[in-house]
Amino acid sequence: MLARTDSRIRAVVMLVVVALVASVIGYRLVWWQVIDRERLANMGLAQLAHVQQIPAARGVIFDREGLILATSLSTESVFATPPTVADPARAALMLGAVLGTDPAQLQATLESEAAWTWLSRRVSPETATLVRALSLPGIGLVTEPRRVYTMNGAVPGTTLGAQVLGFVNVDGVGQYGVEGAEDAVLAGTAGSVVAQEDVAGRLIAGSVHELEAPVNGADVTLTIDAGLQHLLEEQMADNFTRNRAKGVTGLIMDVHSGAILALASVPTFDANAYPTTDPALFSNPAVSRQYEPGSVLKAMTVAAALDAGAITPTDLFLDDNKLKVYDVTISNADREWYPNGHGLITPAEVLAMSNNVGAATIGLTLGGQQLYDALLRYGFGQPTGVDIAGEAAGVVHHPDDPGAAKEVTTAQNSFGQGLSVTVLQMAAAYAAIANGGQLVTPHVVAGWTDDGGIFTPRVLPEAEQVMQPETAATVLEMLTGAIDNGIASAAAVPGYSIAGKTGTAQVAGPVQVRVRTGTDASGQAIYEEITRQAYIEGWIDSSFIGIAPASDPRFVMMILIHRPAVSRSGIGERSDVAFSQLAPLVFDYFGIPPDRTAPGVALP
Amino acid sequence: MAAIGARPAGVLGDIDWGFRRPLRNTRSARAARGYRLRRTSSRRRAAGLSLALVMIVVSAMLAALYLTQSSRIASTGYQVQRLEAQLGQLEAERQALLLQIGQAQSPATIEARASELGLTPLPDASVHFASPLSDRHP
Repeated sequence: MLARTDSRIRAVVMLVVVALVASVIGYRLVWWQVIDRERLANMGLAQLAHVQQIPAARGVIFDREGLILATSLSTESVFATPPTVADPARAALMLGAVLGTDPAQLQATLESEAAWTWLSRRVSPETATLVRALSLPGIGLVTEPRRVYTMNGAVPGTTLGAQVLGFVNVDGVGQYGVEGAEDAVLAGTAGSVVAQEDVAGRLIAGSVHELEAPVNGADVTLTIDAGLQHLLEEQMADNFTRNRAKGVTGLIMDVHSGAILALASVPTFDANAYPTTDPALFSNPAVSRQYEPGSVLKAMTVAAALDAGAITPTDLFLDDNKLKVYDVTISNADREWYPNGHGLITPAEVLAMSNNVGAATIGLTLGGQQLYDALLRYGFGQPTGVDIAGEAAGVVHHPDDPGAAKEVTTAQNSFGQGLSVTVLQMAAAYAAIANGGQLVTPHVVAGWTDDGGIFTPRVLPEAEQVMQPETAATVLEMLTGAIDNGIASAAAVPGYSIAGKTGTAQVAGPVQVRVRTGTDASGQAIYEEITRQAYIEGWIDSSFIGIAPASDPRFVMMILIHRPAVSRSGIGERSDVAFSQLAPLVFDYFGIPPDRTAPGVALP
Repeated sequence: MAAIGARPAGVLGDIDWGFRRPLRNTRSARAARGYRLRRTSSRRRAAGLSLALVMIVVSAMLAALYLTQSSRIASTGYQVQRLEAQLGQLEAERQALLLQIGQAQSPATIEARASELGLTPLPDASVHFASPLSDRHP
């Protein structure tokens, strides 16, 4: 009886134990199969599936006529997985010969602890074929796009418009110029695919778990005209050589739209060989370099004063060549020939003779606050909004600023000293004089074409009316007179009316000065050599800005020569002379007939 | 109650679930029970065989389906790979052609080609603009 009871208890205990175990197993099964199913399924898939990036194609850059300026090529890059390289010394020797790399350096890389490393990026197709033929274990090739700039520049060893276009770095990111400013649009968005792979690393059809299609980058159409750009680069290179200058910049812009048709600086670079280029050449001087404009700014002073009603075109101002503002005496550039000035002169004569005293008097008549406001209104002291990376804002001081000198600042600003501007700011301000007083936004991007072939033109901010149309017309007439009867007559082009202004300004640079810093124990003065920024004799910026044709303005053209070699006879080729050579080529290029009858041949 | 050929009460189909009352141990009852057991065993074998056959056929069909599917996936995979390679090749050719076009359109290339052909820029003096008659006869 007792034995039977024990047996039953054992059976019950066993049953309970089995039931418990079964319950635990059942609970885990339900947990795995029902409750936590999705997470576990994803984990399993993650072990099997492979995420593969689908790169987006970078957009092409076209000029305004649809010529290809920049495109991309599929190239191959060589990589190594050092732990799987069988014989690093032998592999380094063979690869060194093919890649043109030092075998010792290669061997060090192949013997490193790294799991994966690049050996050479974007090699030529021939090199890729040779590497593939070597069939070295642990060495592989992967496809990478390479950006190519198709057109050679006018300067040997450069590419066309390199400082406008910028370049794409080794990681595929746009740097400088349009490539930098429009990188997000050009690059597009990479896609990805999550799918299973076979042993050879190929995706298994039908195993695609997730697919995100790539969005290719948009093509960018520029306002730049490749032909005109080439022509401008040729002219600038020629001027650069003649002047033995540190740099020359040229700009041709449509006065009505602000579209930049050509923008060239010398020295420039080869965008296809940017890794071996001096990085100082990457930025575009027309956009990023601030300089003191000198006399070209006098037109803005006259415009501001006329617009405010502070002066009229017939007002007379006394030029005695010694305008005293506080303890500063302002004199003219022609003081050697006119030590007592020119007497009473009109605003038009101020521009024609590029008279400092006259301009300062007009500026002081207008008043510091109003001149400051007008300069800001004309776009100085702030970025123009151009679509080229790295734009500088320029500097305009309020006369009452802590660093400014009240009326002295106003007087200096009136003839273009004591403030700094960029070439683009000056071109935009002169375009306002040419187009009836509207401040346009300089730009190089005309629009974008998406992957579907739909072109979207760039929408520009509405041009602001910054001066009255009558004022703009009056100043335009005065600037035409400055070429016809003024000191800038060298800029004249036979058969065409030109309005323009020259400007020369001193350039500051680092100067070593001896400064007294105290006295020693014996009472002797202690001096120390320190470096200061100061104007340096012979360092100048010579510029000319012209509106052509003046009778029906189409273009503003600017030439800035940075630090030309200055001799007793002046500089090799002045900016106004350079303009007179450039302008006829531009007229020919666009087929613009003369607006003056002088050189015409009468029809029978 | 347990007549031959009649479905006995408490029996579901040919399976004796043991719910019916036990037959009396008579001669005829024993004979009837022996017959029924023989008949039930043979039917069971036949049913088992059928089930096995069905299972084999279904398994074979599933295996064939799986193999066909795998083969089709592999074939499609190779096709995809081949088409991708072809696409890559065509894209590379397109890119190379774009580069060629760009280089051929370059003003520097055109200028050099023009020079090779003996073309030179016109001297300024050789260009004459015709004035409209109104200029002569205002």
